[in-house]
Amino acid sequence: MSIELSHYLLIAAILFCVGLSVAVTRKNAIFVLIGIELMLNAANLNLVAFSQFDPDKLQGQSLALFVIVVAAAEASVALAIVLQVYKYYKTSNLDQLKKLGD
Amino acid sequence: MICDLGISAYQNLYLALFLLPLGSFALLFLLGKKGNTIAPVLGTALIGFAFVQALLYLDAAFAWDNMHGPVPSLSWLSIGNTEITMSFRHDSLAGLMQVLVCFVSLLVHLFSSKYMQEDPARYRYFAFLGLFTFSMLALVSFDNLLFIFIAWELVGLSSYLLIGFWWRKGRAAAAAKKAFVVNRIGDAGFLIGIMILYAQFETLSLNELMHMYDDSIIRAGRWVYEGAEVAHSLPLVFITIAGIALFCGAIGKSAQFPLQIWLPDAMEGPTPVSALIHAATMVAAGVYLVGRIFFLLDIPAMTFIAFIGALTAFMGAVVAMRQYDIKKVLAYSTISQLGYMMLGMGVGAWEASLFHLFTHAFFKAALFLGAGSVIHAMHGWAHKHHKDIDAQDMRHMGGLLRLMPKTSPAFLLASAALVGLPFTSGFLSKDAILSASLAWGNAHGGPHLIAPALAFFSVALTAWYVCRMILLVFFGKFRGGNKAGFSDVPALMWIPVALLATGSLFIVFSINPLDAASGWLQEVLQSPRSARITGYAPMHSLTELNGLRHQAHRLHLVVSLFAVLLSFMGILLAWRRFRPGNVQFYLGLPATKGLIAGLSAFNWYLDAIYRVLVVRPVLRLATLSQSIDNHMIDRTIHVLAKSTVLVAWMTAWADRWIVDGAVKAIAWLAAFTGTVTKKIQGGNIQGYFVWSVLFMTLLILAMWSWMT
Repeated sequence: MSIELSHYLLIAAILFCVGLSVAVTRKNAIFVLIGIELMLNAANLNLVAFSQFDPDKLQGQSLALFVIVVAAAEASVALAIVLQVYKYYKTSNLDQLKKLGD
Repeated sequence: MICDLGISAYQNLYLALFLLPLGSFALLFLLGKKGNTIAPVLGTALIGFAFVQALLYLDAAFAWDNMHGPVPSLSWLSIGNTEITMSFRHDSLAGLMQVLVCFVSLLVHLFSSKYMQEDPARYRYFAFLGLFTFSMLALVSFDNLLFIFIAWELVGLSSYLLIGFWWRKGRAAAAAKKAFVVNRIGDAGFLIGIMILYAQFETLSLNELMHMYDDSIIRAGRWVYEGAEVAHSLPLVFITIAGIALFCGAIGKSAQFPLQIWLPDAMEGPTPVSALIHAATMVAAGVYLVGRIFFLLDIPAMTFIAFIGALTAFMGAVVAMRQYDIKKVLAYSTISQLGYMMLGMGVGAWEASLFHLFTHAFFKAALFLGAGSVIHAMHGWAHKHHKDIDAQDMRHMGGLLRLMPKTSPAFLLASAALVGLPFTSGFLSKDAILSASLAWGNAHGGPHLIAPALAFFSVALTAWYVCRMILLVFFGKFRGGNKAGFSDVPALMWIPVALLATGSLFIVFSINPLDAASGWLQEVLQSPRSARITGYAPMHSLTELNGLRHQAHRLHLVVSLFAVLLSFMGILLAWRRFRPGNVQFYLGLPATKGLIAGLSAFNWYLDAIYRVLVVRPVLRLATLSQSIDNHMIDRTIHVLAKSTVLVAWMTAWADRWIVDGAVKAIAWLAAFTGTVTKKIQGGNIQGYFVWSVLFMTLLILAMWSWMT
């Protein structure tokens, strides 16, 4: 049994759903970030998988690398914000951080 | 003397004369209640200085006797070609009037410092006295009729303020208003006269007018003046009208018939004020004015003046006979004496009339201040005995000759002058007027003799009422009751009275006790000649006036004998009725029965007549105007207002529901959308995820369904 494109896509879809459910259900901001990372990686997986059909240029792989760089930058900025928020509010629970709505 | 002091010294002197009383007014008024203690001293001192200035200035005034005095005329106002000049008069009449005003004012200040001792608003009283003195000095010093008019109104104002000094008393406030309103009626005439003169000559300086009158001529039935700069003509009758219109001002100010009703009411003011304003100076301003415009009076105007004067003299004397208020007797007697002065002016006896003005100022001020002393003493006595009586009512007095040994001789002397008994100043001046009026009556003949007849009859009446007053006040027994504690007034009060009374002696005015023709006052006061309007017959020429004067001089002896006879007759009749033995008469207060008695007691019912003829129609007219105003004008306005309100209401409705409604609907929509959508933006980040995933999914589904 060979591994086909659909298997990659299924794994990526599962990974995306896990990431989404983590991001939506967990209350801690750190876990939400982890969920987002998972979703990004699901997208990366898709890109790499599709890149198989583009052996000359490998556009998908280079875009995946670009996403990884951007994700790293995003994670660092987001973690810094979460750290500052935690310092200020003494919590990182998203249900308690609803200043905008109040 | 003039050379010694130099012109500039006289200018300063002249300026100080006006500034001192004005300063007294300004200073005391600004000090307010704080000035109460120093007001009498300060006021008296400043007026005293002014009196000294007037005296120093007097001999210069005698010397100049024309316009070219020390103070140059000042251009006061110029509008286009019209120029109004503030010019002063420097002659013996002005100088003498200044001395008289300052002298009487000084004595009244002295008297008042005791009389008003207890008053809580002394500062105001003395300030107003200062204002009056200033205005009166200005009145007698100006040459320009317009400025005389301004000063004339200023004395009217200060008179108003002082009559209503005790304004909390309703009667005083009413009397002040009455005096003011009645005077305005006369002033309207004065203004008309001023306008006529201005229309014809385009100047109001009396000195210039005198020359211009001489240059005017009668041509083709019109009164024409052709000067270097102006040329005007008026109908002939305006010569007479100008004189009578100017005299109207004097009718008001000098309380002549038919405007004499304000003077008796003016007695509501403090008594020293009555002495200064309503006896010696202001009321005589009318006579002074007629003296100033004397040159422009023609024979019809003079006849009018003579008859008004004679009638007023008679009417005043009749009313004085039945008054019980001592001040009222004196007020009516003042009216009567002013009538004599006007009669003198009317018959062409300029000097005699002004001579009477001066003598009258002395003896009448003495009488008023004496009456003030009597009232003061009566008041003090009533206060000690806790009696509530009218201190001015002569029925409570009697026997004061012994109780007030210092005041009564002065009062009796001044009374003798008022009657015109020989050896008094009143005798000299009144006889001069009487003989002049008789000469005038003889010269014109016929009905003109009525005026001297009234004047002679009034002599007897004067003697009667003066004798009655003296007997009621000073003789018999004291009718107030227990006379213990009755004391004469302090020196500050009786000395001014005594000084003024001394001025009622013949020797002050003339060496000859029986004829004042050679007296110094007659020498100093030079009658202005009548104007010579070429071609205008009814105007006294100088020769005619001199002729009348000679006639009067010839009649003098007979007239004085006759007048003295009449006086003694009056005194005798009064003595028979009011002699000290006739006590029961005093106690039963006689009711005023019958028309004649009523005419006398109630001032010829003039107040009642005016009430019916003038006051009531005016009030009715006012009511009518008010109802027209209420029912027609106001109603129209109401309808207009209501329709405006209706339109406004409709507009408001449209605005609220249509214009505002549309705006509000939009606003509501925006708010509604906001409320709905803001729920999405709740700050719940995970909610955002869910929504974005949801919509993304929907989008993908939509795209997918669309593509397939």
